[in-house]
Amino acid sequence: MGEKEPPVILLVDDEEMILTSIKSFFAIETDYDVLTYTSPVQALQDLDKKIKSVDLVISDYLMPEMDGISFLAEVKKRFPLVPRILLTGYADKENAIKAINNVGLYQYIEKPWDNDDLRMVIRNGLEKTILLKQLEEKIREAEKVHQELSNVQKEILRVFV
Amino acid sequence: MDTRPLLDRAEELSESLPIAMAKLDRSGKVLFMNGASRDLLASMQLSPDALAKILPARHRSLIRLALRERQVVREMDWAHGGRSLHLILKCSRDGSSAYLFMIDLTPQEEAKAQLAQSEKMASLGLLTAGLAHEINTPLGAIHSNNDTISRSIAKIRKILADESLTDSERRLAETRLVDIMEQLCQNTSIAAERLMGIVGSLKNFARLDEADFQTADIHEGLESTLTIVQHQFKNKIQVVKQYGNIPPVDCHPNALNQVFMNLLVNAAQAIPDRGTITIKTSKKGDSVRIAISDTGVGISDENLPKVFDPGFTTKGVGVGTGLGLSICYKIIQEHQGKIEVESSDQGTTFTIALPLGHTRKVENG
Repeated sequence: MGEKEPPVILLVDDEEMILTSIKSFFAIETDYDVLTYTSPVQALQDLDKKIKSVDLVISDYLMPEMDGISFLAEVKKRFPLVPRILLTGYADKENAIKAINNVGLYQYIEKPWDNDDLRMVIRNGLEKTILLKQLEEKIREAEKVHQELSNVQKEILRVFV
Repeated sequence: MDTRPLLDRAEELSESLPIAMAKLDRSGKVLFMNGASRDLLASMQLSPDALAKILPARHRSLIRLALRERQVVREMDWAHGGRSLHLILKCSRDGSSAYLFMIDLTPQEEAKAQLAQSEKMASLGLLTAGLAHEINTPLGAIHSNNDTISRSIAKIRKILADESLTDSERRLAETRLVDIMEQLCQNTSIAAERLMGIVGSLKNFARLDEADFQTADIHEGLESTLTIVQHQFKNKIQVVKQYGNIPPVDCHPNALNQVFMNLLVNAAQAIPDRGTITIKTSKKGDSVRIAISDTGVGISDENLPKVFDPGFTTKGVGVGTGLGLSICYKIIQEHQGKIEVESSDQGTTFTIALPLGHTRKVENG
């Protein structure tokens, strides 16, 4: 098996300072590849064209172009299995809870956040993605083996019958 | 003719009245007092005959004057012992005596004060929610940056102590960490500046230390109010500012800011989806005009005349107290100004006119 690719995290917040903070934290504590966007619209465009795979998406709630809940709903359409996290500085939790119920969020984190909590939430989210990916791979492998076996069986039958 | 039974009957009748009533002579001395009066005075811990002495000198002289000039009805308000009374004096035709009716307005006054307080709390709640949101972004950044910098320092210490590393490996690792720390320090100072700006706006908005009328810049007030209510707009509302060239205005800046806040929040709430709020200022004759327009749903013709009435609301229980606009109206009145509303299904415009009057006269004179 070759070098493992680092997990790709997509981070969207209209405030540059939040992107810098989180990206820097992950730079020193993890090997994650963090893609940052101040524009959710641009992030969606890139998800459609440029970005090949993404393992986890974090989004701010209040943004001028599009709110975080709508953005994460769009992400879900494209990557249904990728965990989505809402990062909110909004004072009331009502919106966040509504979002968790409606869009099926993995987690929500409040600003100001604790870096250790953030890391744990993301690590767990990524683990979920990795497990799902592994499961997919195993299923594919099993199917392949099954296919091979049935080929062999056919061959045997062909030779002996 | 024996008038005795008639008088007894009158006394019995007045005794049964639920309104506090007393009969005074020319000097203001109490001749007679009904049960409701005695109860009222007892609740104020006053003895009945003390009324003449307890009444403020101004009221006593008003009573004497009313009696002397045989004024038929004279009304005055009296606050005493935590009670607000409305006094109605009805003089006899010959001016020899008068009936004093005392109406206890305390419950109504308390209810009014409570409503005004709840409106204050509602706008305080709004303010707090807005500020919490505005503050949490830079605070989140600072909090995280500080943690990341501490971690970087710990890592640098470890690198320095690690003898298995070559010099170039060490330098590489250190440079990377120092670069990150440098970037975070810059980021922290941007965040701190943002926080300072928010606190400045808040100070400007509240101006708690300055209760008096003063000459103030209306645009400054509008800007600090916008900072505070902005979070409600972020998603859906574009703010267009058409600021004219206006002179400073003699005003209560914090009271005016409360008016701006109420109008801006109402405007935002009137816009269901996406829309525009336009703030226009101009000088017209001897007044400054501030117009706040929204592209919202508008106010129905039926409701339009009622918008400034205390307690009128269409926002539903728990959302509005129905006092916001009546408070705006009162504040603008205190400025000798005018507030007017126009509305159609295309949106609503509130226009405030504030007089430039007095200061200029003083300056010119």
